[in-house]
Amino acid sequence: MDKAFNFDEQFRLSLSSTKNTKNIGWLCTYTPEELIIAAGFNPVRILGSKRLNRSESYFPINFCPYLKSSWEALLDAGDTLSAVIFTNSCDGMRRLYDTAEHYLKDIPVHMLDVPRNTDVRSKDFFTLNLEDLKVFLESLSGNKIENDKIARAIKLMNRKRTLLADFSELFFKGHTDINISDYYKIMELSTLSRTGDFIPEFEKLVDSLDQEKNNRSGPSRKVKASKDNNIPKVMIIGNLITEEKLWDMLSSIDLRLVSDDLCISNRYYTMLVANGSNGSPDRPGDGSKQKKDTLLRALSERYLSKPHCMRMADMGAKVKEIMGKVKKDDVRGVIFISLKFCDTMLYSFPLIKQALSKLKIPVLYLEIEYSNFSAGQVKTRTQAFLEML
Amino acid sequence: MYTCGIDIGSVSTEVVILENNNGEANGKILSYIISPTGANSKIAAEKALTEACNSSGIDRESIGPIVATGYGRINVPFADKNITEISCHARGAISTFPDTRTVIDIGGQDSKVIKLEDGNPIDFLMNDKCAAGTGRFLEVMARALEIELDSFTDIFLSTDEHVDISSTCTVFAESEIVSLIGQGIDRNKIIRGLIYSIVSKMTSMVERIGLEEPVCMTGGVAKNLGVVKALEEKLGVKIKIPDEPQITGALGAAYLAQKI
Amino acid sequence: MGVKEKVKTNIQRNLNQQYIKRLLGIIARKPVLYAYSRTSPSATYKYLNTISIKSMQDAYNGKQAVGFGSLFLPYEFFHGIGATPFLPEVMAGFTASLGLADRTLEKAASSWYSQDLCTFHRSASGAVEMDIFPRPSFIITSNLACDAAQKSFYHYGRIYDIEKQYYLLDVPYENNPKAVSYLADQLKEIAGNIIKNTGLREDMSRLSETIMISNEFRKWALKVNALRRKLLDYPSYYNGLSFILPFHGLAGTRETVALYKLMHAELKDILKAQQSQSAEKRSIPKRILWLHLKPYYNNDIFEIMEQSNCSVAFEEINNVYWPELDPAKPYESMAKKMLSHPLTGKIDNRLKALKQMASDYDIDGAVLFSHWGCRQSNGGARIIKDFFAKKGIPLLVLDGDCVDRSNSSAGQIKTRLQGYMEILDSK
Repeated sequence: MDKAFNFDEQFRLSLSSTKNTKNIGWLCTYTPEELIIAAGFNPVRILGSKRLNRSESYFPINFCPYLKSSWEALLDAGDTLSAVIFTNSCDGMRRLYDTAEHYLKDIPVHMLDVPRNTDVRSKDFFTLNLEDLKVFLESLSGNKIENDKIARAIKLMNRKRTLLADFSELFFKGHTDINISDYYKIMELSTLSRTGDFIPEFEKLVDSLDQEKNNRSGPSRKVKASKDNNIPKVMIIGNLITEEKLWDMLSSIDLRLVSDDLCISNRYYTMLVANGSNGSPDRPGDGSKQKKDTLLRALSERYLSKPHCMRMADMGAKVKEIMGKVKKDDVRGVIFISLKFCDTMLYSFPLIKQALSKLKIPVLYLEIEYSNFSAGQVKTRTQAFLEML
Repeated sequence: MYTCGIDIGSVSTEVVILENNNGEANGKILSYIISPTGANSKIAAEKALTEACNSSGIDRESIGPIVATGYGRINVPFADKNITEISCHARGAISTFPDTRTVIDIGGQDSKVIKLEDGNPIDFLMNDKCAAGTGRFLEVMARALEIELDSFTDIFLSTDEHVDISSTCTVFAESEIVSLIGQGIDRNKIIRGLIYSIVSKMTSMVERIGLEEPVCMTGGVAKNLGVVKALEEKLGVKIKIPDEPQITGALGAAYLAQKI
Repeated sequence: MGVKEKVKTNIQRNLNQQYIKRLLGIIARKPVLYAYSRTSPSATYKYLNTISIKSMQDAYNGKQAVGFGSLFLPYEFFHGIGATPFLPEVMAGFTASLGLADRTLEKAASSWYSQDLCTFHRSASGAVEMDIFPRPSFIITSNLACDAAQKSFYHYGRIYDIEKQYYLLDVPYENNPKAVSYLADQLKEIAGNIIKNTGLREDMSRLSETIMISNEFRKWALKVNALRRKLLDYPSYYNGLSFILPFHGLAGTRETVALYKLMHAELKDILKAQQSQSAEKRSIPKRILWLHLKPYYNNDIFEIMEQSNCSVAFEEINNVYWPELDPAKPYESMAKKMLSHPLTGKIDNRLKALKQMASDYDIDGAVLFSHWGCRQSNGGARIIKDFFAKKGIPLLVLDGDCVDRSNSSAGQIKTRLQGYMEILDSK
């Protein structure tokens, strides 16, 4: 537990120390941080500021709370950001991009178009869009992005994702006493901190947790107790959930989180970029587009194959993927939690509900808004749900 | 000749009788009445007009044009014309403060921001369908706290601390307050928090439309100096309040009646 | 009780697919159709009724393969391969005007569609869950304009058990040559799949002919729009917000060409009458540009506007946004049509189109009907408002709901509209 808090502190510091470096903001997990790093910038995820002040007057009341709070953060960003990369993820994101372009004239913005299908044609098209992003980043830095830089960045990001996956495995399998709050705080920090600084520190943490696990050769004390007491195994499915009050509430009650599908964890770290370690250089004169852009194609492949957001066309495939996890992780109850007004997430619920009921697994449906989060009410509903399990 | 403005709101009905100084822009207020609307706005309008006549000692017949405004404006059979609250509040505000550029009106179940240019309304915004950020919100909260609404001002001024009320929804905020009281949190802090919550709602409306000075506030809630002060702090401007902010709509209607 | 009221009551009493099919069969018969349209104020409107009913009847009879499609698809594609299009979003508008939306929305709510979602899509989803729509052989949707369409349409695939026949046209963010070929290839592939699965046959000459007919429709629609620029007072009974089905779903049919020809002839007469009227007899109404859609249940929005001497001079949705299509390159042409839609990509595309309309139609004011839950349109309201303000045109953002009467307050709408008209009047 202590370790997690030190960790937290350290990375908040490391974040403030990055203020003078060239940060590029990004929002959606379809943004290839690899290219940002290769261009010599520091990717920082915009996670929003929960206290809305000026932002409310730009958007309607029934508009994505994450995007509103991100806008608040962008209004306050000042000169801490060299640019912001948006993705064509959803209607709300398109309008946030427009708002930034119209009212935030000092910060360069780029829109990365992300296909909704995952066939070869889509992956080829996305490769072309990554090329556009590369051009944008090159014009921003004034330097060409060499292939070896991309290859190095891929390697770095693969390392980070591997560590995050290892850490999550330890957490979900109950090999550590780190609580839900701290787990998600670390997930958030992993997208806020300088990748190069984050990895060695994080490596130490994961190593020490691994050590603990090996010394103990069995589940942690807490998990053992929860197993003995038959505490229900739960999975969380949601979108961009970063509500601290929610994590604190979940940490304070008796449940075992064994799996998740969220923008800040699984959808971010799962799956590596292939060929990251031995990217082949450009081969001039080679007519085949595929070969010429091997690295960008590999990025395209990864981002269009990773655990998806509900925005993608084939929601059925996504639901199947989730059900796979439900079975694999022996989930007994699912908490579905959506930020309000997220059309794509909300439309997935009837599908998820139906698929879960086939497996006879109950699901708790929650919609939250940062400004309207009523911890007491959510706690009551969650506890009642757990009692039902 | 006299003109009359009548503002039938969801909570209260106001009547203003105005002396018409030969068509001059500013006549004198002969009398005004504020009374509850109740279930039947037609009856309320009739009653308020009779009262206003009685208190000013004039006959019904001596009143010339009558303009009705407010939600009940279409249910006033004796009105010569009905004009929306937007135009009436704007007109009422400039009769008191001629150079007003922004009018903030918080009424019983309605709040609005009106932008003026040379005394004419050029843009406006009204609250969305819920009661968040209206007088009703404060009323419900006062009831939950078992405190008179009138004492909100003194309490607001007596403390610097507040708790965040995260819910702007009246229903949720009420239960949030109940649980805050349960946690033993100082009522005064809750009240300050409530005032900030209504003010933050209004601020975003003002910013949506673009703040221009001078700012005038009208409607019943303008009598609550705690809200006014908090709003001044948040917007960073001085806010002008008419002597009787609640009759601004009716007053504006009476002035607009002069043009009929 | 008029025929329209009778239809309404009967359908409310017998809300099931078989009954609707029978009812459409009865209405489509000439005498009834005549009676149904008798109250229509214009020949155009009568003809609009006729072709709308015929189109629905075709879908319910299912003689040809029925394809569900979302708004803004190039429907030349459907007609070109011989499929009957059925537009659930347009039908959601009908659920509102027939007084059925309470039930479809209730069904959607009980099927776990969140109340925060757009009611066009929720009502259509409810109708599909209730099985009152004809059964489709395939479903095509796109991300053009909004997310809600593609997501709700995915559910239809599941409910009708044709998930493999659900196609999402991924419309790129930018309109450039690589985007055109990306989209044209998708259209070609989808056509191939549909043909393989439905027994329809690919007939390039028919497809080319459809494209030519569509160009003819485009030509007449442009002529109608040109006339509307000159009209001092566009008659409200032509309400341009009722032409979505022919403008989109029936693009590429001869009926739509005939409809716009007819409208052109009628409007020409109206223009002549207006011009011969002496100037002092007329009070020229304020000209309003209407953005987005309108409520499709009974409402008095347009009466309120008329009473305040305001007239809708043009509606954003009637803008002919696409270039002439090339019959020799049907797929590419259709891709270009989609990509030139002002609701794709940046909001600047919409602003550019609105700017043109504001000047073409000499606009005094604009109303953006802010339909509850429409993220793509309402999310840009502030930008649009500021954009018009710079041109000295006041914009009213009118909050409401196009389908769910209970999610909108008639009193509030009236006050906002009248307040806005008073502002326009004082200018």
